[in-house]
Amino acid sequence: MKSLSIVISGGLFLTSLVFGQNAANTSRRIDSSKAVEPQALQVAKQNKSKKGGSKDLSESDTGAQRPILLKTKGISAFFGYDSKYYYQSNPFATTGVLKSEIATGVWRNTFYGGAGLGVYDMDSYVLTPYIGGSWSVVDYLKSDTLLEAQNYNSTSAYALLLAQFGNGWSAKAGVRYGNDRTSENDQEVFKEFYPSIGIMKTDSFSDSLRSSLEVGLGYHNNSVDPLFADDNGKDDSKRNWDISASYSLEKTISVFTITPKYKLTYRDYKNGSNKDRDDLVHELSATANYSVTESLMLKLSYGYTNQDASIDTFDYENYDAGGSLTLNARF
Amino acid sequence: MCAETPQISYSFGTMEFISEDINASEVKSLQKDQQIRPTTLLASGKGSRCELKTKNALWRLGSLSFAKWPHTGELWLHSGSALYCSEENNTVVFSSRNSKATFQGKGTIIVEALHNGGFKFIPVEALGTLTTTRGDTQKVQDGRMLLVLSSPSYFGDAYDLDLMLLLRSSRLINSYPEPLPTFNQIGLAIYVQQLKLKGKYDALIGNAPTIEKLEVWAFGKNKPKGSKELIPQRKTTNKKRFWNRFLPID
Repeated sequence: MKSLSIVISGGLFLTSLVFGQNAANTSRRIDSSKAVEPQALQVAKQNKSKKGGSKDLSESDTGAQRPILLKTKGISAFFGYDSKYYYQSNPFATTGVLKSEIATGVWRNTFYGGAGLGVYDMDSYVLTPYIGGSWSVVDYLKSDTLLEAQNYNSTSAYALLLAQFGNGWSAKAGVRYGNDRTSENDQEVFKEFYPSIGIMKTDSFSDSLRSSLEVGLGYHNNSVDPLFADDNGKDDSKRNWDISASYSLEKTISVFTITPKYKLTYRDYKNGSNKDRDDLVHELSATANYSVTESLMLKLSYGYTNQDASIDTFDYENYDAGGSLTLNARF
Repeated sequence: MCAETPQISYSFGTMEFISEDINASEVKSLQKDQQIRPTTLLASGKGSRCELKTKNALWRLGSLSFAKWPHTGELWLHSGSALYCSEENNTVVFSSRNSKATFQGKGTIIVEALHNGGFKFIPVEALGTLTTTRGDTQKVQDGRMLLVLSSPSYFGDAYDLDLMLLLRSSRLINSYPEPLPTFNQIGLAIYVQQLKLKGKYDALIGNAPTIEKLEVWAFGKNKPKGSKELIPQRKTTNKKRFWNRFLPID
């Protein structure tokens, strides 16, 4: 999941960076005196004047010509480590009396890696396939027998196809596999294939404020441990379709990047005891990122989830808040 | 080939012209909607610029430029810079004081005259080929600048340029009332370049006083070798060592 979010957020950053240069921004710069003069150009001009250069580098209307080095095939790789320490008010997403008793701290350590398998220019859009995976260790920190038995390791893998269009919209299609195994006895308690499609649009209001809209559809094809199967002994009762929409803002203030986000998800269950169930989930979150270096990031996060299910016993609320450290390397 | 002669659609600042066939010594100010005949030499003052349109292409002339369109689909650039933009496949001849090359295709291209008589050919986004008068042909690539030198013309060195920086600092792209019709394609070209980016040179490319020499102006702490003279492509970069990634930013 971590690696997938890095791919998506990286893509969103790029698209907002690139497609934020819209027509409105262009027309604002009609006066040549207001044209952006990059700092590099100013430094180069100073260097040049010291050496007695005859002409101003900015005299040409072409623009600054900075040579760069490109990968020949556009294949890239990344890997990293993320350690998140946070409080969770309702870790099992229950509505019962256990709720207040099992509020706990959680320590999640994730190792992830992935690769971009090339950049394919299709004229009107650009196609970029990605693959990746992650392994997480999740430990509940409260000293409680019930909680300690639920510590688990989570594995995920994904394949994703991202299409970026010239108008700023992008589309994605992919499949993710995930499974959870208990730490205590390495028993698989959950596994899932999640094929999904989605569209995204990023906009730039200014150099420091960007927005992102995303709509997605997917199918949670999962199986749970027979112990948690329904009365008929079937383990497919948690399979569901989901459709979601989210809107987020990204504001840079000094060295921090603040990202508030709202996501609305509708889930429709079709099997077993959940046949008539549907959920409406509201998620409100905010994160503050600080990039210490190109590869080291500190993050504070807060989240609120409210699930309103057609079967009341599945209603729940959860708050979580915490901090994380991420080390990421790209090649 | 373009079907009609260029017509002025926008001008800013001091734009003047001379008609070679009427009275070469008479300098006149440019008027909006004016047709630019094959014998019209167009000149722009400092900070001045204009835009011209044909049936299926758009041209922009930058400041301190001197140019003419001697035939349909042909630009002769004595000095300064110009931009060509078309969403349709065309055959366009770019020439300077001493060099000439033919582009076949579509896209957004900036050309800049060099002191050595040649010119820079910068495809911001383009699909097609460029052929010199010596007969060399190269497929153009987004952001890859080609130098067209000498006569008969041949290709000099090629340099991949930072398109985002070019876009943000180019008056030929930004300083006009109407955005370029190929803006979406430019966005895609930058997106592809960002995905493929491996490193950036701490340098800016300037003019070429001679055929052998290209001015490269260094900035930043890591001055590349060969500053102020032609540096071979892919030789120097500010790529950091692996462990430096984890040290604090300056």
